[in-house]
Amino acid sequence: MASTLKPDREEKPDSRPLQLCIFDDRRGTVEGEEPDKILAFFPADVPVDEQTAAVGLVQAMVAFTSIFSQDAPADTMQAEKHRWVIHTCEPHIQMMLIANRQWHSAPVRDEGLRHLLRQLYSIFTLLHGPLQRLLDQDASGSAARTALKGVVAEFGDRLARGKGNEFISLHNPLSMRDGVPWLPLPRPLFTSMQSIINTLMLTSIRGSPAVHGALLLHEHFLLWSTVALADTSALYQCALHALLPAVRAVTQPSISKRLAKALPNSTASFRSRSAVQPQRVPLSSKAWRLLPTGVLGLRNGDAPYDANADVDIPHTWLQGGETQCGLLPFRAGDFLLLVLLNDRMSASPEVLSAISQAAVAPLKKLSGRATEELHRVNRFHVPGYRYLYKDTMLGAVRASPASKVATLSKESLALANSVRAELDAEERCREAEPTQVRYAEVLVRGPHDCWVTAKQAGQHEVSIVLEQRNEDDLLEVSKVAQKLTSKHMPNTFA
Amino acid sequence: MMSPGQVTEPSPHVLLQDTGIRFESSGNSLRYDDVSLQLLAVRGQDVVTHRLAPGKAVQVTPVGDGPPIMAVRASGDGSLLAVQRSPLQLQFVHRSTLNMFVQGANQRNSPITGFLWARSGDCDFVMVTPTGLELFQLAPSGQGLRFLDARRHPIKWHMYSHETRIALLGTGEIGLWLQAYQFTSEGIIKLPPFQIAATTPQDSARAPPLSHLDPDDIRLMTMYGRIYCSYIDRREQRLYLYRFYKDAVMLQHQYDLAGKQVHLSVVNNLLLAHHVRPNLVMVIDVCAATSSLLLRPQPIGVAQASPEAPAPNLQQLRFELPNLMLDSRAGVIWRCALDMAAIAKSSQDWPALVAFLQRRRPAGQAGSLPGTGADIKGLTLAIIKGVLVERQPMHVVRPVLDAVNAAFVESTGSQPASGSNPLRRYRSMPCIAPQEMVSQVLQWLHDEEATDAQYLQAAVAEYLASTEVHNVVVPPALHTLALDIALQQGHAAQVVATLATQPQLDSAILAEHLELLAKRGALPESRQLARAMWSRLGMYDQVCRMLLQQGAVLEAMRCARRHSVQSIPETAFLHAAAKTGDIGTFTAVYRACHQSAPAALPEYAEAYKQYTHFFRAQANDVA
Repeated sequence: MASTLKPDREEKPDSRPLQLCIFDDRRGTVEGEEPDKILAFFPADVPVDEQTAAVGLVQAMVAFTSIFSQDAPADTMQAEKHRWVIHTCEPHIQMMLIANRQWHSAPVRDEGLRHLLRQLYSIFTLLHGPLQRLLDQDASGSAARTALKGVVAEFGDRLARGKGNEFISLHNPLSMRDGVPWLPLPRPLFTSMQSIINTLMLTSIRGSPAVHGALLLHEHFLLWSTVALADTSALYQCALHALLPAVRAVTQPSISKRLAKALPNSTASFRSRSAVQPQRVPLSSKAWRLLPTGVLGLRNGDAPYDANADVDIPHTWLQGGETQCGLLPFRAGDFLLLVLLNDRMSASPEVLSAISQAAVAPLKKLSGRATEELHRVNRFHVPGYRYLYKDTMLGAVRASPASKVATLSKESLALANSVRAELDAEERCREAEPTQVRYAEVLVRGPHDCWVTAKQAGQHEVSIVLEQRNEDDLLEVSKVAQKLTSKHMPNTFA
Repeated sequence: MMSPGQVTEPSPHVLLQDTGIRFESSGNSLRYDDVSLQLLAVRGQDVVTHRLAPGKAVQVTPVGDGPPIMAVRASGDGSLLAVQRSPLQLQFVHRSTLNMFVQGANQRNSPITGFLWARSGDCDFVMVTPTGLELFQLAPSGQGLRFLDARRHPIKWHMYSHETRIALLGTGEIGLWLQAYQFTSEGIIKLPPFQIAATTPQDSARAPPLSHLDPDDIRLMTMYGRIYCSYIDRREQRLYLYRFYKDAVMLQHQYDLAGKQVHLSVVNNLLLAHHVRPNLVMVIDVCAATSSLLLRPQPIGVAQASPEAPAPNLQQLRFELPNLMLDSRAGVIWRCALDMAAIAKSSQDWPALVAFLQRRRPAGQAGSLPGTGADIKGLTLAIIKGVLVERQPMHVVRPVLDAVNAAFVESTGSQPASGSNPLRRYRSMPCIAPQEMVSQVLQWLHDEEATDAQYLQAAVAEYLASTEVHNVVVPPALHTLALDIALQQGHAAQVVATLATQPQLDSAILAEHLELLAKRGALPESRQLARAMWSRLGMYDQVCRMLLQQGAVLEAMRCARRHSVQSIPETAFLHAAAKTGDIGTFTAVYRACHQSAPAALPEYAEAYKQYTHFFRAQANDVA
């Protein structure tokens, strides 16, 4: 929905590529107390009156549009220099993303931006539980603000920099970040893995069960999760944001780190810089360190590793805050194992050794075989096609590698983007009737002999981009697309 | 049900069982002839034979006047007796006609130190002389021997075992070099010569050979179809087993014995070492993974002692391989039997115990008594159940399951191309098929709630992993069970993930089960999962049926046309279309159906009239 907002008021519009805000519309309703609405703002140094003005504007717009559509008031605004996306994460609690149009270089779907807000929220609730609970516990809102501060700052910083995987994939209409890349395992590996995970689940310490759940990753693919799909997705995001980079930093150190190691004299400067760094939230890879036993623990300042002490691990909230668990990640060969420790079970040496015995050691044994069978550069690449496949029931995605999508022309990417936006709209229309079996098919031709087709059938969704093909009628293109689906997603779109 | 936790009072594992065979004990000339399976005794100028069958089947054969009889051997069918009454000659007597002939060694004036009825190719009979083996063929008339060939060795002593078909010769100056010949139907195989090492347990590889050998310490036997030569070192109280291969003889097993006076027998592929003092039986399984004994040696027991067959004095029993004990005083023949039930209760090493039981042949075939746990399968299942009910850790459970699957594979899978019915083959074995494992153990545990769901889930995962490793196909019922167990714990996401990533599990049974869960509302996604599975299975009539049930008429129609589904009548589509209340849908479906089967449908107007109440209802809603 277009707004007729006056030109933006920021003095340095380019200096704020991205703003994030979380506010509670029940707070600060008395004039003069508006700042109390705001629970978090990124960047934090935006003057308070600008923050309240932005919130006020959004609230006004929502109030105004709800006159016309009570159930679905405006949740996006397009201004000349900015795009506004609103997401209601909990009743009365809104998240807002204001993106400078200069910030993203190519078209980005509104749903893509909203997806960022959803991700931010799911990671936040994973680490701190629902906002409402924090507000109930501390009516002043300071507990909620403290909790939000670190996560929002970390999340915003990374995006606002305008580089990095999250930012790049935002521009990729066929990005795997839309879901969780489940990797179906060959039967022998699957059964071996199941035996290890189920043995892990039986681990008990002095009669009380130690493990609530577990996730298993190989590279950045998810192999298994014992917890609900929403929790799986949040934990996977956490692994992708923080844990996998933390492991990579040790196993494939950057050039500067390697230099520092090779030239002992220069280490002092690196050390002194890391010493002044602020306390990181678990969403940051720098908050974690890989201990000699393969355990990933939170950095406790610069305290040296003590094998006899409990490992510092973050708490996580599952099932919308119903269950509290400790998140204890292990590196086991090429696997990353996330163990969810039962509440009141600390990561003591006893617990670590029991888990190591039950799961980490067997996984290490399995790792060589798994890597041999699973490692394939450009897994999921199908020559001639650029595609994204989603199974919405499992939240699973499969897609052409980003490097292959990058070979598409700008126009094709834009076209793919708009086709996906079309499907988004279709999807939102149909959310009203969840019981219906969904079927939709879009087929569009663009410049450079580019065809984009998208299909939806039940819980399956696929978008395909075909470039520089000689087919010139719908039927032929449809057949080419079918070739992909019938071979790689058999019986899903038939 | 038996619990494996409690080991009951030790009871004998091995019982002496009366064979029902009686014989007249007449002096010490009694000899068990393993070629003809008879007892041979000499009474004056007569040879007395006992057939080894219940009752007395005694036959007396007069062999005529002459010097005292030194040795007798009967041919395989028992019809011809070879009798030695002088060092240089053998006398052959046809038992039915009493016709006879005389034969000396081929090498003139060579003493005959032994003779045996060993068949191989043309060879029917072998004479042993100090310079070698002489092979003879029986003349077609049965009235003479024809010399065929000789194998030259300086022979100090020899033994022959019909079960192994091996003639073992003690050669060399004092008979320390052992040379074995095997008499097979293809020919006589010369096995490589070997020496018994004067072994110390620490260094058996480089031990010097023995300097003295008593042939009585050596036995030949078959276990699991393999041929072994045993040697008992009475001084060191150790038992050594050498295995014969085609091109080598290898020392494969060594066991410590508990005494010097030891007899051997073989029952159900187990080697029993009977110690006379103290009275203990060691049960040795050469297929066990380790050389330590599974069963603690127990005294031998006696089953069904009776006045006519009093419990024998062990010291007076004569042990004949593989499994006969002769009580000459009472004239009773005993054999050993295993008490499987006692064995099943006697160890807590469950993986080894299950593997041990799975290697046993069932009742009736060999060596187990009726009423003493001949139901090996039942015993094994009880052990597995007990292990799981006691929540033994998975590192204990897995080897038990591996043992079950390994035995199953061995009994079924090895040569499916041979045409023999694998089902029949495993029915005759005690091994446990996956169907039985599922229905009698895992499903049972679930139904009886004998373990908690999480433990059972882990056990099922271990079983699946084990079957995968052993290439055993599991019944679809196991996957439905696994699904139920996961749902019982609220792990719907795990069910979805398993079905979405493991299409190998697809089966009609599982799809039907998912539909059932959908009906019960147990798993919200199960309807979609079932439809996806039917479609992966290529059973599109089921997909169509489900779509119609869900009211997705157009999709059902599309599916029916694309996959030429015939089994659903056109009227079913039309009815479902009318039920949507949408005239557009109704018309579209009518046209599609009419196109493919015009005869099956009434005219449009009539059809419309038939369903008009559906549309009226909708029109009212709109109004």
